[in-house]
Amino acid sequence: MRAVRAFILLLPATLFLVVAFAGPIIFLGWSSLDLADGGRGFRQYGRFLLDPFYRGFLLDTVTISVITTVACVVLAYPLAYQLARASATTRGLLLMLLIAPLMIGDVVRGYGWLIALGDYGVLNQILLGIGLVSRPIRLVFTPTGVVIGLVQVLLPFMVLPLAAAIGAVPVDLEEASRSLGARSGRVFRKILLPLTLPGLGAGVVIVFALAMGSFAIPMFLGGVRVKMVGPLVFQQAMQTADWPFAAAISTVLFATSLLLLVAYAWLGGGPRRGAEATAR
Amino acid sequence: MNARSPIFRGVTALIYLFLLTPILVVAIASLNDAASLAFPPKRLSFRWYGAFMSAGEFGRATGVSVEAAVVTALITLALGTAAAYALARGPVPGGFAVFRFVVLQGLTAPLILPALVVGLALLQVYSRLGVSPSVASLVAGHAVVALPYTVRTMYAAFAAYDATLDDAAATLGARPLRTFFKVTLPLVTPSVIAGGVFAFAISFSNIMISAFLSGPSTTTLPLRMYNYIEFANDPTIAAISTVVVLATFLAVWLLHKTVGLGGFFR
Repeated sequence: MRAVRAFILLLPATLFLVVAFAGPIIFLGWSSLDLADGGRGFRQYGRFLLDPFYRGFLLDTVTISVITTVACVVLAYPLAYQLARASATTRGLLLMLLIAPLMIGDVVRGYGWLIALGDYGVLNQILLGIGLVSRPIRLVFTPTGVVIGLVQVLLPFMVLPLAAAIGAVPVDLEEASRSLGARSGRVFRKILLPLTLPGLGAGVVIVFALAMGSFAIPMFLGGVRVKMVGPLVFQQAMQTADWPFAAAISTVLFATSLLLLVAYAWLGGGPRRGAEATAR
Repeated sequence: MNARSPIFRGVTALIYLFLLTPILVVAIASLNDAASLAFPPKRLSFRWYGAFMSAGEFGRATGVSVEAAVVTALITLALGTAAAYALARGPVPGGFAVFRFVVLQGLTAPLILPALVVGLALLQVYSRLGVSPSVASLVAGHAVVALPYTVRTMYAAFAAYDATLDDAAATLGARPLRTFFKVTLPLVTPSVIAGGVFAFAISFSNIMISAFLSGPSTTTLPLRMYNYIEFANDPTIAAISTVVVLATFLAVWLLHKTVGLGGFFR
């Protein structure tokens, strides 16, 4: 195919993203500089990053996102390992279990967790029933509840790149080290972990970025009591109608994710690996 | 780690149970006869499914969601297929590899950039330009977040496609356009279906974008459900959710049977 034809085919999608994605976001960044007195400046950013009340939202969001990411790493390794080493039939079944929840949407999952974790929800009924606790434990509208919901929603995003990385590690390497007397823990530390670091990095970046920008799960499981940036943007834009402030918060969120995306692209192997993949 | 040890299997089974918890809980709650969310249900019934079918507001919202999802799927398939074809089959020389990489990252960027910001940014542009909420203005937002899925699916399909088939068609005198529609496209049809299903699901289940861009007459199903949960606590939403869950599993199973889900595994 000639270069001209390739560019023409790329044009519609690119133009669409410029008009419906890049353009509006640049406009959003520009409008975040609007001040109430008609002037322009960075006062909205100062308010978000320096005012202890609003800075609390940012810090809590980062904390919740970090904990969510760590929990996802811990839970994802066993699933990814199983997926990578499974037979074709089992792998298909496991992929269905991982991908279907991803496509079901945040409202259904958030609502499900609300029923599961509520004061008289499934978990508390079970705990009360077997006498493990005397009073219901409070999970809904706490940071713990939000983390549980986010881990469930984001876990597949960690498992899939990690499984791809593990799949690329020859089984022979593991067997060789085992036959030389290494135990499972040592095989993991010395072979699997170092060789899957790029996949792990990619998963960490995706999960952390999606947790930072999450909206529906914090709305369902955090309510007004858990301070997260996503719901704050919505509230400032749609309820308080403080658009420049909502725009400033969004711009900070977007810039953070963009940096992470660049890191992700770099971890993904960059153009060099892309070229190799095509050569194959 | 030993994938066959019973302890390892037990651990992974527990993690899958955790992944499926909200879905299972919703399905059980939807069968509860009482108008509360008591667990486990004392008496079982299907009455909340009837409530879903008979409540006009949910029917309307479902209509809006299906319309938006179909249009989103068609638009992103057209844009995504053209772009993916160019990226996978474009000229090979050195400079293009870097260009290809940058464009592919750019086209799939909305995958991890916050959709929340997309919703707010579009809303602000709409209000500045005086665009009132419609299915079309909603679809613009949904298509931004759905496009990466069709681009990725179609890129994988074209990258794995045996280009000598097209050469054969060309040798026999077919022009490029005819070759594409008569040879290439029929052979990648399963991927087209897969990309379409993904785009449909992404749009249909979206709440982040819809929360900003839906108007009173274009309230989507997820948004309607969210608003309902805020002031009512009966299993109607559980019944709707269960229908959505079953439909999604059916779609994923069909994908598994037709194209396979291995594309996620790269």
